Amino acid sequence: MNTQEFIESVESLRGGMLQQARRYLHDTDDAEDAVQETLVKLWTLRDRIPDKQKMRNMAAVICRNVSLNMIRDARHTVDIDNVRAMHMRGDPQMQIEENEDMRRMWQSIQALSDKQRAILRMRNVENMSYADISRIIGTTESSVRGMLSKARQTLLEKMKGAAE
Amino acid sequence: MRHEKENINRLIERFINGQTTEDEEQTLSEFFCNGGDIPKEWEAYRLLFMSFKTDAYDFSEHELEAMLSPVPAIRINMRRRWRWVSIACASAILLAIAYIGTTHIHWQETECIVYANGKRVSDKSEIERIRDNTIEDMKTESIAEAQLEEMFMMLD
Repeated sequence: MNTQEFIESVESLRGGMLQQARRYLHDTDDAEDAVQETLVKLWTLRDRIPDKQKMRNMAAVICRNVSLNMIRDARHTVDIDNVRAMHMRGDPQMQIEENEDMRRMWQSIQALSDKQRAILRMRNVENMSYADISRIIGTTESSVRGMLSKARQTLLEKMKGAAE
Repeated sequence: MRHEKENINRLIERFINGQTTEDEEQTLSEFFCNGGDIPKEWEAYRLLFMSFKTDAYDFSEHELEAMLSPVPAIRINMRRRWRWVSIACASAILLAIAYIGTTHIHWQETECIVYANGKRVSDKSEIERIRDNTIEDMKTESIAEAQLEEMFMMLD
């Protein structure tokens, strides 16, 4: 599913997801957050979406999971000792799997919430434009910039915390 | 060099605040990832921009599967719920008993019924009138005696 198809499908699903999230969370702002997180996750799964019907089902499952997790206030974290080796791309000089600093960075990235990791991935790894990201998660460009700012700050703070 | 440092510093600040343009982010990425001499105070930013060229942000198969697997519903602690229901019911019953008790006593205290000449009278002013008449009658000895005789005759 390409970006345009994804955006078009998302627009028709958004209302239903918002309703579903509101049933769990009873708060419009929280429901909006849940829908954004659902869409970010759905984007990371886009290679597994065969058609629109399947996308609807996947969105419903993810939205329910996100809402329940928000209720539980659970956040995805990884066992800091169970760190897999990092595989570097590009320049051979950067293949420094054993580099302590990069290992700390990897740990800090894994300690981010799924939403923060996914949105950083969209902008800074996949190099998607701010405009496309805002269309995918159904919000404004300024809101996307706010989310990215928060994610970048959190990541740097976690790195500093890991270094101390 | 000094000019470049100032520029990078400004871009870093904008980047962290989510204000950079896509081109400015590209400038930062090239600066930090192209192996130049990076000042020590920017080490964290160098690592940050280098991390964007790794797969550290990818979700594992397990994580993707987890996104699509329904998480268990939140279980309501029925024992705790029943305890609160029991407390609420007991409180309601006690309140009801207290309410009925007080209103009933009040009703008993305020209601007055008199049977006069075989008739049931509950009107307060009528009762007062009957009471006053009876007291008046009792003041006359002859009438009292006559009534007593009448009673004894009936007993015989």
